[in-house]
Amino acid sequence: MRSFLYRLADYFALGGGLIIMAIVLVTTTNVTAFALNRIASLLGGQVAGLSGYEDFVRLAMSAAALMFFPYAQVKHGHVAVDIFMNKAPAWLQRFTDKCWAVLIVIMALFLMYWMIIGLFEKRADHVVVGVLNWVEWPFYIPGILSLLLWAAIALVQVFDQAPVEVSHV
Amino acid sequence: EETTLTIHHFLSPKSNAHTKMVQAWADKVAKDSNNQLKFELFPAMAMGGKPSELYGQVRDGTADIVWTLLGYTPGVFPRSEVYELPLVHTGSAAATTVALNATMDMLADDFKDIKVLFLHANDGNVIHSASKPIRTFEDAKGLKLRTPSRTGSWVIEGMGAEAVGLPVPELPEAMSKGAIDGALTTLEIVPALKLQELDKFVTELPGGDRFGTAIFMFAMNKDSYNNLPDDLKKVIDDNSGMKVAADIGKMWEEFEKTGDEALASTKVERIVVSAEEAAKFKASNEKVVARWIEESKTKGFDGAALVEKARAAIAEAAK
Amino acid sequence: MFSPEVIGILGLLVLFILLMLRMPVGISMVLVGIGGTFALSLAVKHVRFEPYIKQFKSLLWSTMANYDLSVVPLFVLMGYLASQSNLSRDLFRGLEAMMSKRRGGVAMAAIAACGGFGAVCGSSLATASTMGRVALPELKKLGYAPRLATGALAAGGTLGILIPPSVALVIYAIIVEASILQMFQAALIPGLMAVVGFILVIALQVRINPSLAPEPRPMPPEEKREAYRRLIPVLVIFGSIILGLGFGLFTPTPAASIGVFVIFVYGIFMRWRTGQGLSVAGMLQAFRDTAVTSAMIYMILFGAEVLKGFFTRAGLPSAMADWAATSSMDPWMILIAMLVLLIILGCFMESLAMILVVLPFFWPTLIALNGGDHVSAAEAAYGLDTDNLKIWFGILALIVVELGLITPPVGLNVFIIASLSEGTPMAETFKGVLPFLAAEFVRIGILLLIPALCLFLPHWLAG
Ligand code: NA
Ligand code: NA
Repeated sequence: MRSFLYRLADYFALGGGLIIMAIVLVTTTNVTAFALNRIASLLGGQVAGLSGYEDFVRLAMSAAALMFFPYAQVKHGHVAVDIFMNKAPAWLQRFTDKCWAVLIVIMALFLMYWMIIGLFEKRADHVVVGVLNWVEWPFYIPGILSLLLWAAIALVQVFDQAPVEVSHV
Repeated sequence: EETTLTIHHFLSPKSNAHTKMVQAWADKVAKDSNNQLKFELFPAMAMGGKPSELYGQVRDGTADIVWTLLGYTPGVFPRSEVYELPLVHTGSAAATTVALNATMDMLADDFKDIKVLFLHANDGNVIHSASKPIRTFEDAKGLKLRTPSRTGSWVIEGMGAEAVGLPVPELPEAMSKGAIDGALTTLEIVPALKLQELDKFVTELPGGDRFGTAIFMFAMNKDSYNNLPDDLKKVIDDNSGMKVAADIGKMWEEFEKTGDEALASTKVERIVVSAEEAAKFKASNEKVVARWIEESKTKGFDGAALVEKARAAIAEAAK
Repeated sequence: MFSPEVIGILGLLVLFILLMLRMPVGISMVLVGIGGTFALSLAVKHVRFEPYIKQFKSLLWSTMANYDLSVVPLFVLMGYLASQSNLSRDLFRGLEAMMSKRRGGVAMAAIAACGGFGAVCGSSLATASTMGRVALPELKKLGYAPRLATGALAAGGTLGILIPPSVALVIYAIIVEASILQMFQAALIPGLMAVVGFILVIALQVRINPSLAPEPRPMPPEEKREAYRRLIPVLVIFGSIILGLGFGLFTPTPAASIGVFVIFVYGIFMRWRTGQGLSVAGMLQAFRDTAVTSAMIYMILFGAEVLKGFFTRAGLPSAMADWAATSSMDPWMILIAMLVLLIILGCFMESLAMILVVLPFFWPTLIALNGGDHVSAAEAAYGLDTDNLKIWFGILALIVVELGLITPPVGLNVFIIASLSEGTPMAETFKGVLPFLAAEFVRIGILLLIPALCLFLPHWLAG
């Protein structure tokens, strides 16, 4: 179970990375098209850019950013301040760290719950994005799945035997 | 016993809209209620969230009152969008604002979940260009222009230009770096974005006509309103809708002058297209209106009838 | 009953305690934001909790779906890709070839390479760990004293954030509504001052104590030629990115995208030509590293958004600004007190969280002290109008915040470098960092006295 979830988180992170590369490609294409258009317009021609690429960047980034969260949990990448606790007795460190892991499970589920409500509300409201005219609600889905995975991984870590390693400050 | 209401909006506390409209409205209502009603103002999204969330916040009561742009949540207010359209809005914030509030019944389905205090328009869009002059319809072809709204991007695409969606604060930078050629936006916003330093040309239609406009709402949470005692409800009502529409409309008409003044002291060339070219823009904008009417069919209302009624209401208000 | 302001201050205290109990920073911010607002709703009639909670329908998504913030993961990815494509190694080797003639030269090359890498990397930690991996083994092999080697790299790592692009500056610019590009331009001269300052510190140290650095060993000519040959494309790439950004050929998101694209293509090209560039495994690793760093940043940003709602409802920022406007304290004393407070907090706290928590209090206070939003430069307490104050204070705050990365007891750069350098006790690295810290204080003093060093470039480039 643990290794399955961890592998899934890895795929999510890589998927997020691919989405960012897609943003890079779209943006670079658009800038190139704009530069070519400047040149072409001197010669009376025209090169079209990608209309609404800013909307695309926004939507794609919303998916990618949340898809990174589960992997950061795997790597204990959510920074914490490790200045007093590293001097505390081991049992206390273990206790607080487990408490925080439980809190993360609760928080991730809380955020997921509200995001699901948000998805249905956006759908009922027919919210679209400005230039592209795409409906907004489907872009809630990667985030919702990521929050669920985040919660699952934090839950696994609550029962982990291995001591939690924390990335400092 | 006094009641405190929170007002949340997206513009800076320095803006005209905050000082002259929101703050002034709050002060007047507080006074009319003998200080039974108090207001806490949170400009610049101080209560948290993004401008696109203001509608959700007032619906849920996170804020009691918000001022927001309907275009921040495209698709949510399909009927009211009619007043944004070119050839419907004809360049008078005053007339369109009065018409908006006079036809609330027609728009009511857009606002079922909130209590609208008033709607208003701004003076309307002109073409700001930092690259080349737009004297003819063909001149706009291939330019990259920031769009103010969903229908604004149709206007831009109709001219053969490319519509770019950017957050307002990023507009000056994008324009000065040549990342975009210009913007379809108002004259009112010129001083706030220092467009007088970035514009080289500003293109308008003859007779003060504009390329559409943007619609704003000043709205209240339903429960917050319903929970008020009747006398306070009345104070609010007396400062809402048609009671204030003429003044608010005029105010936005006035705001345009600060843009005129800012541009007057610079070398920015003001272009008013010829009647012949205006006809070409009109033909293009008519397609925008037709597209909007066509689209309305999928949304379950009669767009053609709305256009007709909105035009009639604006004509009536302009008298 | 408790007044809202008291609840706000208690909230700050609770936040601090949770952080000290090693609760992840972003999570603590979210919890205090929600818990604090709940407490407020009990004490203040017009603060209602239930509608507040409903915000979470869209708050998380809209915080992520932000065009301005999209540069953050892009700048992070750019750095990791450059590192995986061995651009960092080629940069260091080339600079080493240039400077290996003088005593301490290789350590100086490491500083210069940190500065150069800072031009493609938006994060301090990535710079420290990348350059540490590249330069530490070489310094060790040549016989540099561990104290100098680790100290120089820990300090050099801060250049990642001082030299634009910089994630912290992007966030600062978004909070105070400054132009991201202008902030980058403003950081350029102070960033170069840091590079020069650090190199001088090394020169001075080896002059006083020659045993810190080995006898110079000139590189063999053949090796040198190869190093130079590889340096040139790196300098072209890094140079064009920083010039493109600095001179504003592009707005930030396109600039960052083009940077990623160019490095990506170059890495693949090098792989094809030499077998050493960007491998598939290297690219996937860059994605993973980007994921961890970006998730951490976005979580803190979201936490700050939640916290902001609480503090604003408690009336804290406005109360502090009102106090500043009416108090008779010297504005310069308060400014210096703010910087000192940031340095002290930096000893304990994560830098981004610090900017996000503290700035909403400091910034309105500074504006009030300066004489209000519309004050002219001539009448302003700091001699700068609001727009210039924004830029100048941003750079100062950035520098002191980043000092936290190398100050004891918690200095993340020091931790990273120490973990890369087996057998060097952490205390030794902290000792090695001290001279560089001294250089930083000198630099802060100079920038305090001469704001033009920050303001010159943005003004000049704006024409
Ligand atoms: Na309450
Ligand atoms: Na940097």
